[in-house]
Parts: sequence; C-alpha cells; structure tokens
Amino acid sequence: MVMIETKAERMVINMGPHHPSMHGVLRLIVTLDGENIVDCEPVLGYLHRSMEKIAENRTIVQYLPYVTRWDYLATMFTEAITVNAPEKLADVPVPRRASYIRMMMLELSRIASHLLWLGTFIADIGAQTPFFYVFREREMIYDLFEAATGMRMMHNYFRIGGVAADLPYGWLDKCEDYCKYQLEKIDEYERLITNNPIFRKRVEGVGKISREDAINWGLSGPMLRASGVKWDLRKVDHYELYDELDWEVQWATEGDCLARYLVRVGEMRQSCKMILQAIKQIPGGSYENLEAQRVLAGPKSEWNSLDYQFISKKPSPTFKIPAGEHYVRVEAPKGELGIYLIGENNVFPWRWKIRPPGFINLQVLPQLVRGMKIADIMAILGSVDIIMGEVDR
Amino acid sequence: MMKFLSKVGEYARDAVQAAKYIGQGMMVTFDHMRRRPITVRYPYEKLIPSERFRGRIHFEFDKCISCEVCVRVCPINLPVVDWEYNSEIKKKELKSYSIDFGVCIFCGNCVEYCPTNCLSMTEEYDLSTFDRHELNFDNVALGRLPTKVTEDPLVTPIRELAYLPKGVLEGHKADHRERRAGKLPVEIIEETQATTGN
Repeated sequence: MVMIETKAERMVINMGPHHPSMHGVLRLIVTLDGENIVDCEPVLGYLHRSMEKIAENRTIVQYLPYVTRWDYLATMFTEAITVNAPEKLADVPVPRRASYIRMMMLELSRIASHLLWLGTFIADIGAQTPFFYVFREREMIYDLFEAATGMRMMHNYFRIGGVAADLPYGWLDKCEDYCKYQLEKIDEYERLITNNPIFRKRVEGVGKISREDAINWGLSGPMLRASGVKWDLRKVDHYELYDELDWEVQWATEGDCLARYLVRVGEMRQSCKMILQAIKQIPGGSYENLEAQRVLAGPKSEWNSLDYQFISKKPSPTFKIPAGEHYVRVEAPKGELGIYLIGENNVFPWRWKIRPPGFINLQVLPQLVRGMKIADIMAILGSVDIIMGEVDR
Repeated sequence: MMKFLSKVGEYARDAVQAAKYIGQGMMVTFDHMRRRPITVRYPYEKLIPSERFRGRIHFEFDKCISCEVCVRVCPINLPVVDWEYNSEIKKKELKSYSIDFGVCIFCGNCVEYCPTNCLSMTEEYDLSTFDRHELNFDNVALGRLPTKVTEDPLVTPIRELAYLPKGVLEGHKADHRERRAGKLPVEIIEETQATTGN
C-alpha cells in the first residue's frame, strides 16, 4: 500500500502559564512534530515568593502561618516539617497524645491532597464528574480541620513540642464517622474510574518511568513507589508514632500513570485505616473522656502526666534555634518534604532550605512526555501531582 | 477466515467489557438521584463557623497593657499599638490600637500570645468593603461585637461536619439545635461512678 507521506515543519507551542487545565502557573514550551512531542521544557518561577529568605528573619512562631502556603493542598505536612526541624535540633519532647493528634491530622491531610489530586487528574483526562464527588468528601475533611484548628486550610495548628490545642468535644466521633464513610466512597470512585475503558486507554502504559530512572531522578512519594521501589519515609524514618499503627506501604511496579493512580488510591485507604486505629489508640481517648478522668482522679493523677498533654511546653515567642545544622524530612502526599536547617543560637534560622517534593518530581516531566502524543501531556502532568506553590515557593 | 472470526470475537468481547464497566460507572452516577444536594445556598443558608473559627479580631481596649506581644508574634508585625508612658502611675497608657484586616491573614498568633486576653477571634468572616482603607479597624471598630448566623432571621443556619450528631454526615439532615456528637465530661463522670458503684 502506498502511503502519502507529509513531512511538516516542527512546531513550537506555548502552554501556560495560565492554561486552564494547568496546575497553577506553570509554562511548558513544547516542540511538536505533528501530534508527537519532540521536546518539552517547563518554565518555572511564576509563583516564587522567596519563602526560604523570608524564614531567615522570622521566628518559628512568626513563620508558621507562611508555611501552609507552600503546598496549599497538603497544609498539615508543611506545618509538621516546620516544627519538626527546630524540635529535633533543640531536642524538644513531644507527648504521645500530641503525636497521635499529629498523625491523625497528617493522614487526614494526605487524604485531602490525594482526593484533590484524583479530581484534577480525572478532569485532565476529560471526566468532570468525579471532580465534584471528591470535593464533597474533601469538604468534610476541611470541616474537621476547621473544628480542631480554626481554619480550613491555613491551620497554624502545629507547635514546637505538640499542637496548638487539644481536639474539641466529639471530634473523634465525627472523625470516625468520616473515615468509615470515606472508605465506602473510595470503593465508589474505583467503581466509577478504575475499570473504565476510556480511562484505561488514556493512562495505561503512558508516562512510563523505570525503577532505575526513578531513583536516578531523585523522585519520591507515589511517583517512586509506582515504579517498584518500596520506599515510604513513615516506615524508613520511624518518625512520630507510625510504628504503632498497622499499615502497609502501597506500591506498584508498572511505573505508568495507572500505577500512580492505583498507589494513591491505595494510600487513601491506608490513611483511613490508620486514622481509625489512631482514634482507638490515642492516649487518654477523646478530650471529653480525658477531662472526665482528670476530674475523677484529682490533680495529681497520671492523667496529667506528659503523655496525656497535647503540648509539652508552650513555645515562647523568643524560642531560640540552637547552633547546629541538620536535615529533617517527612513523607508528604507528593513525596519527601525536607528542611535543611542551620541554626546559630538565634531566634531566626540562619538558613532554611526547603526540599519540596513537587519541584524534584517535576524535573522528570520532559523525559516522560518525549515521544508521547500532545494529549498525553495533561495525563502525565496530572499524574506527577505538582503544586506550583511548593515548586516555586 | 478463522483469523477474521477471532478478530470479530475479540472485538465483541471488548465491547461487552466496555459496556459492563461503563454501566458500572453509570450506576454510581444514577445512585446520586436519591441523594440530597450537599451545597449550601448562601446567603439564604449559612454554615455556622466552628467555635475555634478565626474570623475578625475583637479587641478590648481597657484590658490591653500595651506590651506589644501581639506585634512581636505577628508574621508581619501588623497591629499598631500607640501608647505613652505615664510617669505618674508608672504605667503605659494605651492611646489607640488598630489592625488592618486588608493585610491580616487571621493566623491567630496575636490572640494566642496575648497575656491579658484582650484579643479574641470572632466568627465574622464577611468583611468585604468598597474601599480597602475601610478595613483598617481602629480600637472602636475592633471593639464591636460580631453578628451571629444563628440570630439572623433571614438565614437558615447549617452546621459543619464536626458539630453534627454521631452518624449524621450532612448538615441538611439535622437541625442546628440538635445535640452534637460526643458526651459531656460530666456525663462520663456520672457513668463511670454508676458502674463502679460509688
């Protein structure tokens, strides 16, 4: 058969910085050969707000409200790392109860982040309906956050040595209600999405990254785990009290967009289970129970000991970061979120280097999209899960 | 011929599979016909902000000792504390106090660290004005009491998830006066005393 061959000139098109289906202000300069992508160059920096420099003349208390603006969809994690860094440097003890409250908050935040990721990812591929479903569930997490912290997204809840306040009355009951409800809803999403032939065609085998490449590019989080590396900092670093909960690292070996989807959905299930366990195991139980026990047992009871406090000691506004330097990291929903902190026995840190997972995961994008079709860019970019707030900081 | 038939068979199988999974997905969609909308029809319905909600800041002039802790813990040193030292009573006298809510991010640090509790957060969140300078509240404006959603006859108040009764997940499904989840500490004390027999 004779094929008529047409050779078109290569075309360079600009996507962004404010393309409606872009995740924030990211600009992609894409070189096309017909519909095939020859090259892609991301241009960053439109949302740069000098977060690291700002940290250098703020005390930790002053800086805490800023950090929720890095990754504004997984806000608890940014706060966690901001208090963990000076905490570890100054050896501040964290009561067990506070640690449990933190874990619950972190896992709720992880579910919220993955839910929104799911909605936008599916919307990128062209299915708009799940977007509204995930917002319905995410709203509930934010209601829980609002009740405990006072704000839906910009919580300002974590403190050096614990959290700002204990959980309100009835919060654990409602949190339990929510987790049970969420587990059902994840089944519902899976019924809607996972086996859908259109979805499968769009994501299976798209944006493949091998195990070696994933490690070489320094990927972390679901991006790394979907490529067959069983690496979760909650298991690796044993921070907070994650060892006391029974859960499994979610991972897959395919390394394509579908694997990343499955890993994230699996993580949401695991997070729900972890919260349900934490509700049962939290020292002192619900706040109302703790109060009652304190009244019953009198002022010198064990219920007033360190383990049952929500904070070891209220941090003073002039908390000094001791001299020394170290790197602290947590497993955020997007990957490894780290802080390299250098203190010089001053209220301000000397250096506050942020290692954002989104920034490092985004680097691999040109390699992933090369050779694919232009319509796959959105599917691949969606599966990387970037938030420009933390990429540009 | 066999090749052709197997192709047709494969195609039919794929089509049936696709129809099955799409049907499964549509079941989820149609299931929503028996569910209520969860959207809140603002401004006819309003959510009741939580007890810890960080809205507009309330300030009590007489309690303030002009210590300026609020300024030191604020990320941008926003509160303006205008005081003068009175040598007769050997105390600082507050002349005026103001916070610009066009700049404030409602982080609540000032409220948390205020030693005399003269600052507090209200449940007021709708602060929009036509001129941004109107948002610069002085001590008189800061001292005004907030309005309540539950006291507005035009508004149907709806509670957020954390304040609903146990087992209820939608704000529309419960009246806002119904009891929320969780027992009171007093009730827990009574229960434990009843079981232990004192």
